[in-house]
Amino acid sequence: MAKIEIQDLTYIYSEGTPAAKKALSNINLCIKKNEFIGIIGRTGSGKSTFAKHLNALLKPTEGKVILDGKDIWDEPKEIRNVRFKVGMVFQYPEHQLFEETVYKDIAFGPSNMGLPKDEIEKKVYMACEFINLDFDLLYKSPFELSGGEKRKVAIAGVIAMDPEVLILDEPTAGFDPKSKEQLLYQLHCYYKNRGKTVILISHNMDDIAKYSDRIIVLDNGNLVMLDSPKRVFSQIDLLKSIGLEPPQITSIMQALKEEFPDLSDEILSVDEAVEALSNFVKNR
Amino acid sequence: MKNFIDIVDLKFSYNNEGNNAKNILNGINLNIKKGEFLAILGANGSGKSTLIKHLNAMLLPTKGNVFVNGINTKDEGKLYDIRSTVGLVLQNPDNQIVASIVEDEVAFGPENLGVAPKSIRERVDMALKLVDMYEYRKSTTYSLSGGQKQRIAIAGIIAMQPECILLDEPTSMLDPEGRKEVLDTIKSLNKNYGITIVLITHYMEEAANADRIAIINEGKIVRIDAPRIIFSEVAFLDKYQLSIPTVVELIHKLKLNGLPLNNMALDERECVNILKKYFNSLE
Amino acid sequence: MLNNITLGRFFPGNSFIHKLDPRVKILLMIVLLFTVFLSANYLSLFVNFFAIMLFVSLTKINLKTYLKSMKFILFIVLFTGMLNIFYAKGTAIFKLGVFVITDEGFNNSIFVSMRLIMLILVSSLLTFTTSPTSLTYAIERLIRPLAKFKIKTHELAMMMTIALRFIPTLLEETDKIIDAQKSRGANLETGNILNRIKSFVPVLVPLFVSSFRRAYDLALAMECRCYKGGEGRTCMKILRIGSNDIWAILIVFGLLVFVLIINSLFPAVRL
Repeated sequence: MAKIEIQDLTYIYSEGTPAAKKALSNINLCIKKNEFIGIIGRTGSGKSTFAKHLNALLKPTEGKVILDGKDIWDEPKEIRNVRFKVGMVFQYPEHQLFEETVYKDIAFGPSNMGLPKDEIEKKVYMACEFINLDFDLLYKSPFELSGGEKRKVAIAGVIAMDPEVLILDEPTAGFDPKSKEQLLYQLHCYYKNRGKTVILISHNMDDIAKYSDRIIVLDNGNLVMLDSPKRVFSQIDLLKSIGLEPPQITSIMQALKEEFPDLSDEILSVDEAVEALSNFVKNR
Repeated sequence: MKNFIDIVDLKFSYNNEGNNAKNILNGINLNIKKGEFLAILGANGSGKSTLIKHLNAMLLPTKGNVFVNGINTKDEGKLYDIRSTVGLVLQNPDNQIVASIVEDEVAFGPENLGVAPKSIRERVDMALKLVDMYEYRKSTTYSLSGGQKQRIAIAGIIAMQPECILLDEPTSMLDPEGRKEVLDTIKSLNKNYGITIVLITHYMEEAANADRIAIINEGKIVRIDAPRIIFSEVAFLDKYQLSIPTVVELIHKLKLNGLPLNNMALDERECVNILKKYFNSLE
Repeated sequence: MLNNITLGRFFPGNSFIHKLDPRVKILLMIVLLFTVFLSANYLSLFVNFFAIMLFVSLTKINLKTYLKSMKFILFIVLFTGMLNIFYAKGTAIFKLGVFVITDEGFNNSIFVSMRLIMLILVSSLLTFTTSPTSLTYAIERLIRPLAKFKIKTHELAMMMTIALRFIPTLLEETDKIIDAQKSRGANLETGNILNRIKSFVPVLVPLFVSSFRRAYDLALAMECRCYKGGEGRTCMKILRIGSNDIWAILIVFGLLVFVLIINSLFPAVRL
């Protein structure tokens, strides 16, 4: 069953003024329950605008956003419930920290949900554990932490609401490779082990290729493709025409294929490439 | 040949009222030649940023000395000579822009130096052309993309007619397009105008363009070598938590699988060529 | 959200008005404001309005843009206009049930509304056609004589430049933080005033923190670029009073004299 269904979604910024700009036009798509979705597109293609519709930060100019079979704007007064179900981690989320202690900051979401105290505590610890945050940090001020720890606290603040759909906008920007892998792996677990839907917006094609079940490709407010990584990244000409590059390993294999047509170019990871190339050499 | 920048036994610590003053930099010796492109790599908190702030006298050594063109950075009388010779571009493009209009922004440095108005105008035009932003000279700085903002920041330094530009993770907040714009600008300044570049980055693909890479860990330089040599030592990269570029990983793993590849590739084109050459030799 | 306001914005261009010396523009704006308030009868008011519209058309900025800047104030204009129409003494000229319009009330509302509109037009003339940087630079020059009284004129101007530069950045940041906290279920839209103020803490704290971070970065960047205060500093743009400026000065002062003459020849409207 569809977790989120987007019907004829169009969004126009500053409608009715001379500065009006169509940011999304006529988008139709379905996101399944327990799916890992990647969203790619160059800056200004509408990725963030699209994501903001999913948790009701923006209201469609036309069309509908349907969550669990219900139009989210049917009951505007209950709109906060949508935001609890669909969690959103913004770019540089560490800039949203404000409480005196890490604990209070992570508890901000759950307490807005109106949960009882012991339940909040459980959620905070659960989120900390999930994101690998040292419990000792809970009673420190978030402003004393290192950049990487702040980011973790901010993400934990969204995880603590236990959202069914988790959207993240470039969550690993500025991370060193180890912390980056760690976070992506944790997101993978959130989807795999807990049956949730994860939506990752990123410019890093390697990460998108590695983790996504399906990829949404946006260009200039239009949905260009919604397909598996292998299919999306084999459309090299189409991608280049909208200013995107496939993962480096894919484009290496595609370049080799031009001279050696026996090689496969539907390759998304180095290990796959090593296997394919080694076999190729053996068969020569 | 005389070095452009000499760092001798540099130690640095912030003196937090004498409490266990831990050295952020712990005995750094480094020479940078004129016209060189040096990349500095290292994990967060390794002391990279602290190091480059010593090169334009934003920080002064606790122990040891830093010389720029033979001038000790501790020489207060020469402070502005040093800062106009060695410019610094920061990570966040939004936070280092002073003015609302592009050309006013670029003029800020020369204005501070008391350059004559007519020659400021010439410098501003020249600098904007160098970073390919001349047509935007009347635009508001706010409306630019991240990559354009960083190029304006670079132009603002160029207008001071420096010999060296330091860049502290200038691309880490940019999208791939912006990253490419900025890197191309840096490369062109180095190649075509002989400007010395010191670049701190997380991206190995950017460091691959450098003449030398210095790897810094816990306040010490643990290695300084040509990219091709450093990249061929995958175990070493791993040890210092540096990401391994895709091309390096591919060639390394193919070698482990018994393919007799001798060269290390620095970028995609080289990698494809190495493999093509090898496959063709099989026939 | 806040991008729709045109009041106080700068629209780059190359018109006669754009090219005027900003110092001259500021001084002439003050003179024009005086003239607006000196206009005591319909003829001078009309002449004045006509002159201002002439300037407006000279800027080559769409009239709609000016109208939009007024949208903000339109409510006030209408409100004061209405107040004046119904709450004044004088001879009744129109009656409808309890509503009585007097001649004084009528004059009053026309004059108040017209003056407000002209006031906005005149200030838009300045801000639409002058970049914030040249505006601050002009102000710095105009207040320079105050340096004799130990007022730090350069620092004041630099503060204005930086404030103007960071307004859009901080507005955008505010929007982002509001979105982020809303995503965590913050309720910023409903509740009484006290609760609303309290609910903005999650927005204000991050905003302050980030402003300090930006200030630190900016100070560092300025120091790196050899900033050392106003001493020994030059400026790329030299302000020079040209023939255009002379013309503008003549026109505005001509208008002032003309208005004064009309005022003395014809009786003032009773307000």
